[in-house]
Amino acid sequence: MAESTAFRLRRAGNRARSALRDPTRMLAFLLVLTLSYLVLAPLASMLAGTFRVGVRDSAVSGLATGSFTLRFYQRVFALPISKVLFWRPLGRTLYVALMVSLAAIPAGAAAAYLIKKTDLPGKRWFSKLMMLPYIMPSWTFATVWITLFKNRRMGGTAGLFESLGLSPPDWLAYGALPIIACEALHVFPFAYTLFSNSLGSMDAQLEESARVVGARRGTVARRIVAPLLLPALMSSFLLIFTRVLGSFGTPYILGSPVKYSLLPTALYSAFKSGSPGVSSVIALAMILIGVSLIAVDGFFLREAKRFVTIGVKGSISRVSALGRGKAPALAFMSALVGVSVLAPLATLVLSSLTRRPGDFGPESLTAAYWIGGSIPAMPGLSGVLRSPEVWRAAWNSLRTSAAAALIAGFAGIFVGYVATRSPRSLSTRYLKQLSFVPYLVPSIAFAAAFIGLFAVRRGPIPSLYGTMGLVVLVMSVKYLPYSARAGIASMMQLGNDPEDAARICGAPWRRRMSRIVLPLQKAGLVSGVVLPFITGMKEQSLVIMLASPGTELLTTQVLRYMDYGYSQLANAVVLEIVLIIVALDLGVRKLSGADSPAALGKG
Amino acid sequence: MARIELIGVEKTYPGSRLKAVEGLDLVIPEGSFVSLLGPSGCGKTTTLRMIAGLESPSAGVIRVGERVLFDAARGVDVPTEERGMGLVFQSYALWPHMTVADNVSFGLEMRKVPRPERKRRLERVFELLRLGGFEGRYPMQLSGGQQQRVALARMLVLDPEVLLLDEPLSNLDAKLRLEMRAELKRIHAELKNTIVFVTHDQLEGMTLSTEIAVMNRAVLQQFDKPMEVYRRPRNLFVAEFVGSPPINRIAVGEASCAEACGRLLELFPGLEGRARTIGVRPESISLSPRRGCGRAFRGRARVEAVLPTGSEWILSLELCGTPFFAISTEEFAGAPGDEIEVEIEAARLLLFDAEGERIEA
Ligand SMILES: Nc1ncnc2c1ncn2[C@@H]1O[C@H](COP(=O)(O)OP(=O)(O)OP(=O)(O)O)[C@@H](O)[C@H]1O
Ligand SMILES: [Mg+2]
Repeated sequence: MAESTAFRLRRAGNRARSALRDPTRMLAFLLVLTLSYLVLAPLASMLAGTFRVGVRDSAVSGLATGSFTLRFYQRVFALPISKVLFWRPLGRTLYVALMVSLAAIPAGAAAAYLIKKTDLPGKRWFSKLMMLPYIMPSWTFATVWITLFKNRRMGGTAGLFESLGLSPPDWLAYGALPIIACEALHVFPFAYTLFSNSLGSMDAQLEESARVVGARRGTVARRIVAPLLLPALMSSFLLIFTRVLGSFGTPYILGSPVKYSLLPTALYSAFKSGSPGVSSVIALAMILIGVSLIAVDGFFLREAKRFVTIGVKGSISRVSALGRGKAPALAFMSALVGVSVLAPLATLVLSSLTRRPGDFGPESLTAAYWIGGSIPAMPGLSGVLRSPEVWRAAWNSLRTSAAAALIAGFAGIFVGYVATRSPRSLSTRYLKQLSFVPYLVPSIAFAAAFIGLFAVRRGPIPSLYGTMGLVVLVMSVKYLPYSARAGIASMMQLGNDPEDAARICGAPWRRRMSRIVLPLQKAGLVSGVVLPFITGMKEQSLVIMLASPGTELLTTQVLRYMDYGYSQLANAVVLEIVLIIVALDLGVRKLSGADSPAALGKG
Repeated sequence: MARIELIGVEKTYPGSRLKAVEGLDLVIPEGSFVSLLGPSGCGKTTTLRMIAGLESPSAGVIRVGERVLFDAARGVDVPTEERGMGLVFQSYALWPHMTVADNVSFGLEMRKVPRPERKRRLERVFELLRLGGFEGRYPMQLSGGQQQRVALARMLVLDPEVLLLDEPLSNLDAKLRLEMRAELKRIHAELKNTIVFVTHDQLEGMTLSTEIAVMNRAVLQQFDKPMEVYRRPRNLFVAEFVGSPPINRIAVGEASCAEACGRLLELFPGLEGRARTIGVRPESISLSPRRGCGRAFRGRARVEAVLPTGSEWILSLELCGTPFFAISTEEFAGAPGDEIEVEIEAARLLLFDAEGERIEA
């Protein structure tokens, strides 16, 4: 059937006009455009940068600026220097991640077993306390470690053991062992959560049937329970690898003194030494590793579906009596909580109150690090509560996190809105995929990509390097995956009916949004905003490369103090951050009755 | 050999003040098929789990054959894995990470049965339960009925003297359930082990079992052959729990049924004072009176509604101002509004006293 050209033109015109009049489509269009630019452009520009000679490189190599080159790849992967730049940090990253897994997973799994499956006394308290290490910034443990084990190699306030006359050897103070210990303390609650979910959803009758047919406890554990926990095990492994790949603070604080770098710190040094091409290549490699980890995780999740247990009616969860094992179990749990929560917090508090570590005599005990106008031995500095630097950093932290959280939260709601209004459309599918991309990219690599794109003026967009605006932008895009997921979930739950009812009543789009959709999304907005906000308050990996004297955040301020060896001040600031986060977390949990929001985010 | 004896068995769950099972005395004869019947929460599962050793009673003795499995006073408590019983859960609890064959042979492996023998027994049980061809599948790839049969096979392959079943048919649709009932009965006839079967479906209990134990609120109400339980219920609870449509229940002394009561009680001189409730099974109301033989109540009833089910006709009647259900296996030709002649034999009436205990007339 032949349609006349005029007819087809008219039809296309009508379609375009109704699309323009349909605010949902406009919104989808705008979102697609903005998010593509913010998510894909930095990555693309970084990729392009790896093949192009930069201004600095041109001076070194004599090649024309902007010409095509493969030398960065060569430097990172194929020259003798590659060993220092990439291969050794890669090997160390994998080694550290493996050791962290070996330490954290058994601890987390054992804790989960004791809490879910036995009559351990005080399990509610244990399970609450155990989430704290996860809520605290990941590098808290590193600052605590330094406070305790720092030796003569570094200047500034002496470590606790040094000042007691027991000089710790380098291998105990810096490098692999402390990094592994600190990362493990931070991530074991995650293994705990994964395992306790798995154990909690496992039908007790699976074990009981095995006992009925004659299997003893040990056999039941080996043949029935262990295989069913395999998915939790794999997820823990991959998550820990992702974490280690993405965390900057701990290897920076504990590795730098002995030049023990992991990939994030290697990327940072390459960036600092002024070679964006090289750091981009490293960032790219990290992204590839990140993506493959997620892909492997996805594969295992699909495999795990086969293990989904069927029909659980009639299974009241039953706990077994510990009997004589009660004392050792209690000791284990107390030690775990003691080492991961109580000891670190106590160290931070005491350290921020004493001039000489471990000395609680009158001339050592002081409140100067908190409220002193000037501090002896730290010229020009005052206590953190009176320091203009710290107040400025706190203000910067609060406003950037708040702004980023709001932007991410609303973007999430809008993505959710588009996804529910037209669940099968191309733009919905694209937006869902796109908003997940930042999750795949390790924080520091993500920041590197942003700096690459926004360091110079491009068209209408001015250079943002060194501004708070860039920090906000990076954060909001990096946190988009959480917000988008929250937004999609809560919009899907709400459905279209409330809005359609308002539409039938004759309300125009803007009124429907402001009076119906957004107010109904309050709960979703809370989780979509609060989580990024808390995460922003403890963000370090993402912002370390963006911080400059005017734009310090609390977290980067900690690192400055650490660099100068001012442990007491650093620890006081860490405590400030921990207090803010825990207060926020508790407040939100009170308000929303939900699970700990901070426990979900990255640190 | 595999007679199960429960003597004074009680169970109170920790942290709960109510008893889940109270003063249970029950002797389950060897080779019988006993149904534990009762409403939700009455303690059926708890009883079964105590027999299996998955729950320790708070008091009492449990014996199977000559073997003492549990004795609170002497501190004996044989662990589940050494009791050598079979137990099928309502949720089947198949191990999702093992194939059908692995699920079924796991128990044989635990008992250190040599491989060739294992294979033989597997084949036999697969044939018995018509599971041939499913050996390599995972539980997730089976239908509900197939999963149910695997769960059964997993226990039957061990040839346990005692097989415990906790509502194994309740997740199946009606047709499959009927088939599985027949299957269970066939298997029992073939293997002759002692089966304890938990259900709250009274029809299932009636049709399958050699004996029924009716429980209510943690207490055993009656233990008897199915027809005895039906015809001679120990108390009002049992009378109402078994039978569908349920027994017609007339409260003596209630104004609305004064006339019917008066006339029914005339049949039992001397019992007027004690009887507080009269029970009339729907099929005891005869619609084609034979007149003349024995003590009986006769009267005219008005038909309120006719409910044909296909094989029988349920009638809603009004008799002396009191509503009754009656059931007829012959086609009922009348229509609502008709007046019909009915007869109730005195011997088929059930009388209960103030405590709900049945009065032997
Ligand atoms: N593990 C447990 N802890 C505490 N109370 C329990 C436990 N298991 C059962 N109960 C209680 O004991 C009573 C008897 O429970 P049981 O499971 O034996 O009932 P049931 O007759 O099998 O019911 P259903 O037909 O619903 O399966 C109930 O009141 C139940 O709430
Ligand atoms: Mg039950």
